[in-house]
Amino acid sequence: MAETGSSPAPLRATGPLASRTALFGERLALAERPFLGRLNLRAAADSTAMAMALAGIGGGAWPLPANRWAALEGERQLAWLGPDEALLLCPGEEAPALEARLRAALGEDHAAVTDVSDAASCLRLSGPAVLDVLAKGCPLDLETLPERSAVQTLLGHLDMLLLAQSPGEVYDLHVRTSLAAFAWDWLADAAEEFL
Amino acid sequence: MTQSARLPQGGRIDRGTVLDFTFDGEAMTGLAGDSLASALLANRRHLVGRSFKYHRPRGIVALGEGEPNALVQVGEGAHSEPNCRATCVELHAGLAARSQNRWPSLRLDLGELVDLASPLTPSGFYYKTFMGPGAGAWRLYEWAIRHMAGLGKAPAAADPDRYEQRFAHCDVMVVGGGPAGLAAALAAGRAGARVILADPDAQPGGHLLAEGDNLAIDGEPALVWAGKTAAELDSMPRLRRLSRTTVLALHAQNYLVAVERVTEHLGPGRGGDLPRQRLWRIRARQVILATGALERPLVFAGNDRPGVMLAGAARGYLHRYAVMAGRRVCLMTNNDSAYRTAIGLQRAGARCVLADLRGDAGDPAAQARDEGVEVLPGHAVTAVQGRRKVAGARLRKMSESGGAMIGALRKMETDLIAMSGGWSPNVALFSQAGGRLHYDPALAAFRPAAAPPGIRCAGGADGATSLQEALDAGIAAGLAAAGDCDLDAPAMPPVRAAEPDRPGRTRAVWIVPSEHPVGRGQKQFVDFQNDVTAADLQLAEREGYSAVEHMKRYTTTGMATDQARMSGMNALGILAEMRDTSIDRVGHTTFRPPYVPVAFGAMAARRVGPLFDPVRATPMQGWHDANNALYENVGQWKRPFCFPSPGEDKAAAIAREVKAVRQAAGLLDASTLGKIVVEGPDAGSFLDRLYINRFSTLRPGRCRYGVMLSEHGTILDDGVTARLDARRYHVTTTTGGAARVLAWMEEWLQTEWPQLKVWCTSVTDQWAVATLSGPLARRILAPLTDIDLSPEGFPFMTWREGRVCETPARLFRVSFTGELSYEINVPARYGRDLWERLLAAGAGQGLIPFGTEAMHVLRAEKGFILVGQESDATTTPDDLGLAGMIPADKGDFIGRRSLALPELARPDRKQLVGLLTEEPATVLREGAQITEVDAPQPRPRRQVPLLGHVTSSYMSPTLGRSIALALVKDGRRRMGETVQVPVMGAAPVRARIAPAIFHDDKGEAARG
Repeated sequence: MAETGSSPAPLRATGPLASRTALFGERLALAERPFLGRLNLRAAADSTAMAMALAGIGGGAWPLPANRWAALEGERQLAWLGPDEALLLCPGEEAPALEARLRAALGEDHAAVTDVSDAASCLRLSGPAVLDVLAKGCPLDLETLPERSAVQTLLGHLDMLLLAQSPGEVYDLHVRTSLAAFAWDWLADAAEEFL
Repeated sequence: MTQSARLPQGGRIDRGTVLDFTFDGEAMTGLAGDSLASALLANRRHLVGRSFKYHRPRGIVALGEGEPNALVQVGEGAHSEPNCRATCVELHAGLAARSQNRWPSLRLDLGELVDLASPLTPSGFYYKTFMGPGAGAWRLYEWAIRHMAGLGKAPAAADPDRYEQRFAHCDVMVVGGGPAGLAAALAAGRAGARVILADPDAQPGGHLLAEGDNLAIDGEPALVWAGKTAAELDSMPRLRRLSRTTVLALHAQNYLVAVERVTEHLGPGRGGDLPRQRLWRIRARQVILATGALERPLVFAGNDRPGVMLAGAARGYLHRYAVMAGRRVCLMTNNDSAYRTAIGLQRAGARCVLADLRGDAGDPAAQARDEGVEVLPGHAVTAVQGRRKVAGARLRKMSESGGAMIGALRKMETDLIAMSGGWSPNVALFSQAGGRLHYDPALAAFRPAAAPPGIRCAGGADGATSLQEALDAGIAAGLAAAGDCDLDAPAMPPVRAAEPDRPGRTRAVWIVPSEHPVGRGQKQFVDFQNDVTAADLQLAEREGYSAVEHMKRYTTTGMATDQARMSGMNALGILAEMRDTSIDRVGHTTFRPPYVPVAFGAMAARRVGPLFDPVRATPMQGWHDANNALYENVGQWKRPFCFPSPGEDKAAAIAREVKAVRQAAGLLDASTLGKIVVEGPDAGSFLDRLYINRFSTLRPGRCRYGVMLSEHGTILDDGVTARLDARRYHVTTTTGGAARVLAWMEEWLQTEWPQLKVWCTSVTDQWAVATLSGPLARRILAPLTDIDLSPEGFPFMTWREGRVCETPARLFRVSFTGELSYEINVPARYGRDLWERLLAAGAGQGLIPFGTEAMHVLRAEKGFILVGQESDATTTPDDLGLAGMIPADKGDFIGRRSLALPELARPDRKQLVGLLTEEPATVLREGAQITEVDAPQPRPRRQVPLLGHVTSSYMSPTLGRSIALALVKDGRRRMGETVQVPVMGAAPVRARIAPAIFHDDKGEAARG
């Protein structure tokens, strides 16, 4: 029977990787960074409103250099997705307030802020063998990527947004929530020889 | 010791490690470092296979990847691999190899009868013979041909080995690890370039491995230099040396594909975590091809008998493997290189007679005579004795022109005939990449001419004939390539080679004269692998197939895995002689990837089993998995098709789920619906242009069903769109159409309407969607939400924001089932719990989950279309009865102009109707054709006018009878008429045309 009287308990949060356990080896580690906040930003490359709105939340140039990410206040990172698109990554609990602040700052200007925190998952791959694992599925030359690269590329047959957190050592892979488990299994398989 | 042809010392093998192996079940031993071919020869096994067409006994001809004959089946059971070149298979303990294309045994092969009948089967006989008598005859011919002609057998079981792929990038890619390749890699590596060096062999050195110890580089034995160079290369952090790696392809823009045999040489199951093979996909700024040269056979009578071998191969078996391929050796050559073989074998204890097709052999002949070799200038081997093994040779002196035999016949006993027809630069990769070749008469071979950008050839691959030339060219290429990568290459001291002999002239003798005209007497093979003789080429020419590509296909010369490696140059020379023209004018056939055969496993790599194709999972998938869901694939999603109870079949489960939705409530996982936020001041106007109906007038808080068209006026996608606020819309698309629709939107915004202020953002994965549908939906949901669910407070086709289970949610009151429905959207992380809480809340009221098939039945009962099922790429809105959605006063939208085309506006097009079979229990087949009732039964070659086809068909649990939707020509006017659906192998089914709605045609349930 339905619950009666007082209001029902809030819904429990479950990520797509809830049933996977992190992998640790001497040369490689794979772990999820669950429930990050993600705000998708759209504005013209020359939008001063977006530049001002970002300044209002503690820095962040607009537009960003192509295929790079920038560190903002705290743990926030702003990743380039296109000439008129970026992704603001932040601790999950900050997302609603940041969305509200950006929307308020942008007002009627032609820009869009969309909370997509649940649309993707972040898999962190680290260790000295990390490039060997990524090379099994990513066609880019990761060895020569500049620092703070944010590239939209492939992992096998999956799309991913790859953020080089520490080149050659630590990479964050952002993949669609619905594909996160598949991406995890793909990585775990590719990592087998290094664990 | 069973390896009776093995010399007591010498060779580059590990005499301490004896390996057991079997060939055709016979136990033998070899040594670590042996190839399967060298181990077989060590055991005096020359006969290793039967030829493709004539089943002739064949032996080992070559040393490496050029081998045309010694194709064997290696491994047992699922690990078995056909057509492995015995010359390229590294011996490992327990290796089991079998010969191919013979029955009942290799020594006694009944297929050999084909050889006796060979006058009946010249080239092209295939096209001439297997033509009649009837269309069915080919099936019999094919069966017979497949049994007679052929190579190894593919294993029936799945390949149990692991294969991988990886990408790599470099400044300079060096292909080949011989002297030129090593020197090139050294020069580029010292300049600081990122280098990849790929070499098929396990050891560095290339052809040096096959030469004697009298070659020196920088004052040391050449192989010592090769080893030291490899060690220096391995110490360079930016250099990757891939041994056991064959480059298969060189594509445009220096994209290379290579296969690395990572653990294959260890034997099955011994690779640990590492794959058997790894396919490399390499992007290089500069490519250096140091692929060496390949020795050609000579085309002479009886040249395919086991025991006839390339002179370079005989030398390699001697020096690398310490195997004497023969002791009474007859050699025939048209160049100097065979003298090294003669001298080497003579020193090892053999007795050699060397027939030099040139009349004026110089220094090497004198050297050889000093060693005791009998040299016969201007002589040729005119016939070979022995069937399964060479037993003797006949030699005669040739006329000056080479056209006739003039001297007395000389017979000799021999167990090895070593031939050298000259050396062809290995230009396969160069040519694949578009490099141009020209014929060099001094080499009697094609060599690289104009190279594509970023590609260089060095060493034997470029026509070099001496070690010094190869080293110099390698260094120069390495430095130049590094320079082209903007690296300052430091000066490099020259590397000095010492070679005991100088290369001499090569005399082109394309067909060695024999006692008989070509085509009589013993066969003169050009292509061993495909059983093509000189006579076959001449026949092809006579029959008009004289263009080189025609001749290749008519005779099969250079096809299959040989890819002209062995046969190409000789065939071109013969063709040019026949056409009495220059070889340059004849040209050459196309070199195609892969350079050597590659296992399907390496191409598939890890795209097998669960990793075959990406799988998208909704947040509720874990529950579905745990609750017996049967899935169907929808794009990359797996959607629950139905949820059978224990012991229940699919049909019963679907009927139960449909009834629950009509009578109580059901819950559908609709998370896969495409969702796009369209935002901006022009968002409404943008949607008006995309959809046939209007969205700019939609008020915030309301929803509207929309249909979008292609430019051709045909239906592209549909879905419900809600207006979130003044400048934002929440657009939904079909599950499969989500990515297409977003790309469609972006294309129009970016290319045609950049002035519109609109942003589109995909939120498909952001929201988990549970659709609660059925007369009890309101009662079940009410206790869980703070939203007013009353029909007045939350009417049909509106949406509300609020909380469900104390969690922010968006509810859309839309219906695809025809029942009262709420599409409950929560952030994806809450989807699983929402699903379980809703089911728990409705458990006492008959709520059950339902799958896509029940959803399809429910919507079909209501006549709602499925894009892609009721529609195809030719279907207009009017065809589906949706023309009324287009407002009369609406301006332009995509597809509007096309709708006015006469063909699209025709009143009697195929239109959506319902079909009710006369027999209510009969369910029509989806896709079935529809004819007039008096039409004859369709059969082959009889044309029957078709009226349309069945688009959807189900047993309706609500109506207790079958229902179907169909597109029928002029269907709306034919309402009530009877049509016929032909059924293959049974009586046709009659059905009545009815309105395309079978249940609740006023739509009261959904609005209630």
